[in-house]
Amino acid sequence: MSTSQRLLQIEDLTVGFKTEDGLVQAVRGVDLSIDDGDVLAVVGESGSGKSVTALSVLGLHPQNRTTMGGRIMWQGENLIGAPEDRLRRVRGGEIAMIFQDPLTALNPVYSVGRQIIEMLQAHREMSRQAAKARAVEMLGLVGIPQPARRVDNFPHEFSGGMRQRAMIAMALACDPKLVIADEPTTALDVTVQAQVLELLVDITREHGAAVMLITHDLGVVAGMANKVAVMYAGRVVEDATSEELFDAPTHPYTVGLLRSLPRVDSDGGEQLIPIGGQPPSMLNPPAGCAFHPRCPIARSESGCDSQIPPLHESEQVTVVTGTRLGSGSDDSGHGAACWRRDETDSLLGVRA
Amino acid sequence: MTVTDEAVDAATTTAPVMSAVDVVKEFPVHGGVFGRTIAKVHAVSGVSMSVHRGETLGIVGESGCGKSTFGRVVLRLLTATAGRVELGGEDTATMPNKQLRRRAQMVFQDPYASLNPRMTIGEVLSEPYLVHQGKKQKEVVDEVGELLQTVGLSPEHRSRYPHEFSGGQRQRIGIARALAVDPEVIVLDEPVSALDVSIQAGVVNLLERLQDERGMAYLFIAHDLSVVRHISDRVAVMYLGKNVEIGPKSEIYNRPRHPYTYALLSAVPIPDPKKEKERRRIVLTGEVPSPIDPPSGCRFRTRCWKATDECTTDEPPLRVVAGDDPGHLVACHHPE
Repeated sequence: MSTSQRLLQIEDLTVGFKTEDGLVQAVRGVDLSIDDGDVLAVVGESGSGKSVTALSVLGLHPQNRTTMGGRIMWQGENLIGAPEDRLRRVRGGEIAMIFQDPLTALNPVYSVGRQIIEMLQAHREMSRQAAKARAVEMLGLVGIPQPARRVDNFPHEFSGGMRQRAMIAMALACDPKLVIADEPTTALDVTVQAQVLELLVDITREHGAAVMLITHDLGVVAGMANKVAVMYAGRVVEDATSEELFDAPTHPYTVGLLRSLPRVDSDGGEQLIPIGGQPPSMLNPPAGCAFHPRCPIARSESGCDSQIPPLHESEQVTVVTGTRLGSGSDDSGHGAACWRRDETDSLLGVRA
Repeated sequence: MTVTDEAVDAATTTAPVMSAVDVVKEFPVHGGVFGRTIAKVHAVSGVSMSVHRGETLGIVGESGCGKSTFGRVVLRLLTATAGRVELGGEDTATMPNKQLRRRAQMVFQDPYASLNPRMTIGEVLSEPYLVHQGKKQKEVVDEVGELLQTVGLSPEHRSRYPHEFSGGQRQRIGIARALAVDPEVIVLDEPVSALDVSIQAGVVNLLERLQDERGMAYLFIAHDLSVVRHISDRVAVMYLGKNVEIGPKSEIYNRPRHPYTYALLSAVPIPDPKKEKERRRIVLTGEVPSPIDPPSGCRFRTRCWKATDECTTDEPPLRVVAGDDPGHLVACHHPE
């Protein structure tokens, strides 16, 4: 790992929400990093903390009910605790966000063009006319037909796919260095999803922006991302390059996800293997590895139910028992937060 | 047009449990000062399909293709504008409600909205027995317990309320409710799409096991082509109110004939980076046209890269391409 400055480096991020029932520990120590040109996919199921992590970067949590810890280093500057006017410069200007549902993310009473213009004028010193020309240019770039006419349309006059294109146009209008896309295609049909994903990858590459893609769809990850972080119960349990993750999944949860997934490229002769049990309540997450109650290879002797396993072996400070002689294979950067990561091969054989 | 019959009959040599013939469903659009009907939404425009005992027919298509409307018409939750639906050879139009509901059941997409929040699970699951067998709640305690066990829950769950269950468990309760009357057909409308993958797999396995044990037919409506491939025996592809292709699943997935099926399959992301890189993806341009004023001829022609004049003027009928499996039908003038 290089020591040069990361575009975005999240270190030991914790996010908690105060509720009537107690503190919901949505994110419990997340480490992530993104370099220029990266497409990092953050994968996980509902409640894994992937969206909460993304929203934290832009400081979009309600401050009175949220507790945050750790550091979010944006080009060397910690965004946690940064003043609101600084965050306002970052949002949209340096880091743009694309939300899942463009219909709620767009203001229904302003034309699409006006919303892009507003954004340009907020971040760039631009005349209204120049901003409008830029808005038309961006809409054309994302494939909206007749952009000069469409720029005056309202969101309800756009179809779902076009709205998401308009969101992408808006996100990229100010040439951000990072685009955070939170389930950008989940609300779209599969053929439209293919269009939008292709556009997102191409256009961010042209603009030289990095992408943080939040998704639950492992298929989308395989097609788009070069790096992947798998989240479970508020922590990153595995991080690797996209090839490594699908070639040699190492955390039992990742293995479980892949085995429970029906494949469009297979006739499904074999049974799906669901992950037993339920995701834990984040009011009171399990001790040790949060996955241990559902893990087929968890063992008390290994510390699964008592100590939180580190993501990368180099961070490992406590050797729990003599049985862990570690593979020492951390050079690849493929991390798996599992005390028994050398034994997950035994799980893989079942499907292969 | 009982197009699929001969083919499947050849394979199963039994009459279909359920068959829909030329089903049409149109919804009026009201407007103007007097709220007159100013247009019609052509949601389903002449769809024929049948499903046999122990068989799963998957119906796929994108939003607005009419797959859910078709499922509802089949169960008479919506009245068909034209066409007929037969259950065991009897026309359902004249069938008493009670008899229809006993023989054909439905599992809905949203397990949060489809269970009454004020009823315990025990009450929810006893209702079918009270309604259809005239029994009292106390008399069906054993049946309800058994049902819960069948779907992988515990009989002790009967006194709990829906909000105490997770999404996957609620969907199991929805399935148990459908099973209570021992139906011949179950229409499942996006039954697993609200669930996380690790939970989804368990529900899919449950559905497969129940079918093996009880032999009912499934009409499995979903937009997720991977799940449909996994669970179905045959698959029907719908586009803008029409059935554009139908056949055994291996035919549909390995040798798609309709350009739309082809594009649809190529758009599904595969969780394998190497395969993803090698794939040739057909990215369709444009959007699905409005079902209020669908294109003439072939409804897919506005987005089709093979469309010719013939496609504008003549609507292609469902037919077998020479050399194909006789159960594999496609509605296209220029099949792949």
